[in-house]
Amino acid sequence: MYDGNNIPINSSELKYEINLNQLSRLAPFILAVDEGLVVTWASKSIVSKVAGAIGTVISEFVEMKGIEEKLSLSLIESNVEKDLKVILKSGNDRYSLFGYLINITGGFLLLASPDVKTAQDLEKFSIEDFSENNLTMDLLVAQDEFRSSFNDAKLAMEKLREINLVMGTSKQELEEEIRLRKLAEEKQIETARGLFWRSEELKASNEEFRAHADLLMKRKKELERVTNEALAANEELQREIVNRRIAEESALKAKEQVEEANRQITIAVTRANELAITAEQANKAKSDFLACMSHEIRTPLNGVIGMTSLLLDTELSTEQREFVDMIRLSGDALLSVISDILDFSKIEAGKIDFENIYFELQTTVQEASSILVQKITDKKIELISFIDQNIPLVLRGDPSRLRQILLNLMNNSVKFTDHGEIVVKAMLDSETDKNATIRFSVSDTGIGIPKDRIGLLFEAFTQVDASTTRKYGGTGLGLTIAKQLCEMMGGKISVESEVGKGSTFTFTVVLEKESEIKQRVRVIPASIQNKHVLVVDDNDTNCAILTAYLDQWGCRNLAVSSAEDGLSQMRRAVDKNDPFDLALVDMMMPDFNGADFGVAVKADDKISATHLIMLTSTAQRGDVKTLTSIGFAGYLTKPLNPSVLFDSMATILGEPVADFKIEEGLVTRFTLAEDTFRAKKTHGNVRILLAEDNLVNQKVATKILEKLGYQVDAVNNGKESVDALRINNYDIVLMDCEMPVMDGFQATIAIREMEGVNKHTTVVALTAHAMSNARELCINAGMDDFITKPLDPKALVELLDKWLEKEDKIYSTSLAG
Amino acid sequence: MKGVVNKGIQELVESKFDSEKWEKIKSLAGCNEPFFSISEDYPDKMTLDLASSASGVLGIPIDILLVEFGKFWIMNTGKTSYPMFFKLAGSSPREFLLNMNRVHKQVTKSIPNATPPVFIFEELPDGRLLMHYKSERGLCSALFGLILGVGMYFNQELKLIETSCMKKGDTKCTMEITFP
Repeated sequence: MYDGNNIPINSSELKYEINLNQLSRLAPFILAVDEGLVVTWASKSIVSKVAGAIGTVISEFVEMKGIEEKLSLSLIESNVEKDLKVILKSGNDRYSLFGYLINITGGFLLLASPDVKTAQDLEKFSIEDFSENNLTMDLLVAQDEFRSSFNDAKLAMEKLREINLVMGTSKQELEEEIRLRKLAEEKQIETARGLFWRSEELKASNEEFRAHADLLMKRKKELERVTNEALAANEELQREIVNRRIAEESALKAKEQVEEANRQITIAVTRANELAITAEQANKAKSDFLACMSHEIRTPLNGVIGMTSLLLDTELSTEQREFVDMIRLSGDALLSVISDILDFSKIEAGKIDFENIYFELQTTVQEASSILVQKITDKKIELISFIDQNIPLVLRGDPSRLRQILLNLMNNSVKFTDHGEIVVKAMLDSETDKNATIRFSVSDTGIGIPKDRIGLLFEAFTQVDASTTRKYGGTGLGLTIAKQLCEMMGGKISVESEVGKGSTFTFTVVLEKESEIKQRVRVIPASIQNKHVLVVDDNDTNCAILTAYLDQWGCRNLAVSSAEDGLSQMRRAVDKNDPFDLALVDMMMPDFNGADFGVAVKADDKISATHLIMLTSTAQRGDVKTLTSIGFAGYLTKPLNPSVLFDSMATILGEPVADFKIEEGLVTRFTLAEDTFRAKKTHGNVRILLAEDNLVNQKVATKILEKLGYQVDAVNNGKESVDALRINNYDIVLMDCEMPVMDGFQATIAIREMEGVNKHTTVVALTAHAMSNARELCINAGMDDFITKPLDPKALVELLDKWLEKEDKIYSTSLAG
Repeated sequence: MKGVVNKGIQELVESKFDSEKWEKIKSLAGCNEPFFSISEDYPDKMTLDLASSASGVLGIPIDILLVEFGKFWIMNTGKTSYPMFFKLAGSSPREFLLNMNRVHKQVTKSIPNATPPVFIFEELPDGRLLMHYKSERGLCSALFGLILGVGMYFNQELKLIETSCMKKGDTKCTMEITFP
């Protein structure tokens, strides 16, 4: 239709119009202008904007820069004026167009399209203002679709990026995406910039744009696919990640806690190790100190006590004797304090050892009672002991520790009791094939213990109250030691007490039983069985205990609490033709004492045939003589040793027990103080070698031994003792353990080497240590026994008797108490 | 059918309901597309399947759903996807509707063998506009909603009557539009 410069125009108006309409599909803005420059036809796009366009001079609403002149003169040089910039004016609106001006017969045609450079330009036009093939429209569609697709792609990319982050896709891939995105953005900008350029340029640009859009589309498709896969993977992954994160968080927390705990533990362990090392060092230092203290304190104390004992045997004025007694008492007190502290330390350090030897329980109880009896003579207290006859005679254990417990409790009782009685009982608690559990009780009628203090009693360094120490002395360790010792012997300790009425301490120990063969069976002789025995004692407990023994021995018995009752019962018995064979009479009774009773009995012919045995807790010089003259057949000190009583009774009632002495016609078990140091026989032929470096102790020991009638040679160290043995024979060597030049252990080893197998001189260690391993050390060195310093004269006598008279067996075991 | 239609269904379901429902609809319709590109051509069947399964899943009669879709599409998906085109398509509902053939032709130009809808307009002297439409897809309810949507786009309430419908046995569907 429109073909280069030639436009065939029909004269027919209709055709003319139709053609122009067809033409307007290509260029929507069409104006036909006649020679008078009046618009004769205008296309719909123009009319819709300039309503009165037709019939109006063109210059009224159209500006065409540079050719207005030409128009007015119809002097368009060529047939076609190209690339015209045309402004269509409608009121204030301005529409930019570009187009062609074509000469036609009788006028010219303006063919134009919107000149769109910006989005603002575009908005002025309608879709109808563009030809169907207008590239602007194509681009517009492409642009919208691109933008939308781009947004989709962007979303997809963002999703992908998230996934990438999660999945840890390489950074490069992501950067490639970003680069592409940037490229796309740049392209878009570039494209947008050139979007509304002229057709050829636009076309080229459009091609490029489309190509890029295709690329993006492909990319998008790819992204979609990847996204799709990734989404599925991601879903699983997300769950996994959440789970893992939770697990990791809790694991991390737990790990932190564990690490913290570990750190604390490490610190604690390090600290504990340091402390352990320190403690070990401290403990060693403590042990060393104790050993040292034991030696250093006991040695001079040995001198003090020994010398005091010797001093007491010399002529002294009453005042001097009093002072020396005080020194002796103080020394003893100090020694007991030191012993307590040492024992406590050993228990604390777990270094205490127990012996496991055969012993007789009643001997042990008797020993403890005997030691105590001297302390209570100046108090009006009865000391009563009772031993259950069902207890096996011989048991196996540590008698010295048992005695220590008993002494601790009994000492306490004596300390806190001014009048009344102290009762020591040993009962068989239970028995198995191998063991016997013995229950001991120590009861007193002393001041008692307030309830609120009982719980503290067994704690170290605790006494009933602080003033106790000042008033009664002591370390407060006695009960702690007793408690721990008895626990170590498998028992328990407890206390019941009432203030003002007294206390009862009860404890148990488990001891091994002797095998059947060694167990001696007490045979009750016919002379005792069924005998009629009267007990005269104002103390009910004593009566009960004595009658209990008598019951066990098969004696018919009766107890009365006064001499008057005793006499009347004796007379009544004679009347009944069943006189008493024996009367056990307590010395200390109010008004009418035991001696008076004896006098009364012997003065009455009716009853004078009854044998009398005096029981006293206050033995006095001259008693034996007095009682013999009255007519007593026996004289026994309390607390009674049932064996002794038994043997005494048997002897008096007609069946003398072997080895039991009848001294000056009176059966007695002398325990009088005056007899303690008395030599029982002459030891002049016995030579003793004493090795002791401390001159004071050397002197003490020598004096004691000489007083006992022994010949003593003293040397100053181990080496000298070996030399002395090389020259002379000695019956026994008393060997101090710690000496200069050569100590006691080395010396003993040397002696044993020297003697060989043919000779064996008894070596007894003198040790100030009292440490747990002293016995072991002594035995290992070849010593035979040991005795602890400071030397106790009684213990020394026993020891010497044991070793020197071993072969003679003068004392039977049953009488050793 | 251009992706922008399917995208409209998706956006409608996702915004008025939730994406879980959409996934259900999609799987019921056997559609595996992760999302729709507005410029791509998708099979018509997919659109129809999506519409009917949406009706089933959401429990909304198909025709009501399509009307809602039409309104939603204009105000959301279409407007967002073709912002420039919406501006150019007309300055009034009438002008907008009258330009529809051109618009559709323009936007489907890039798709080979595209079958954009063709409307025959009949402008009545009293100002009413008759819009005749032969839809092989039977989506006249969607057109109904779309026309209402155009009114909403220009903030005008159009009076619309479907005077004939192919589903009722008529030869064509006719929308009678009265502009305020």
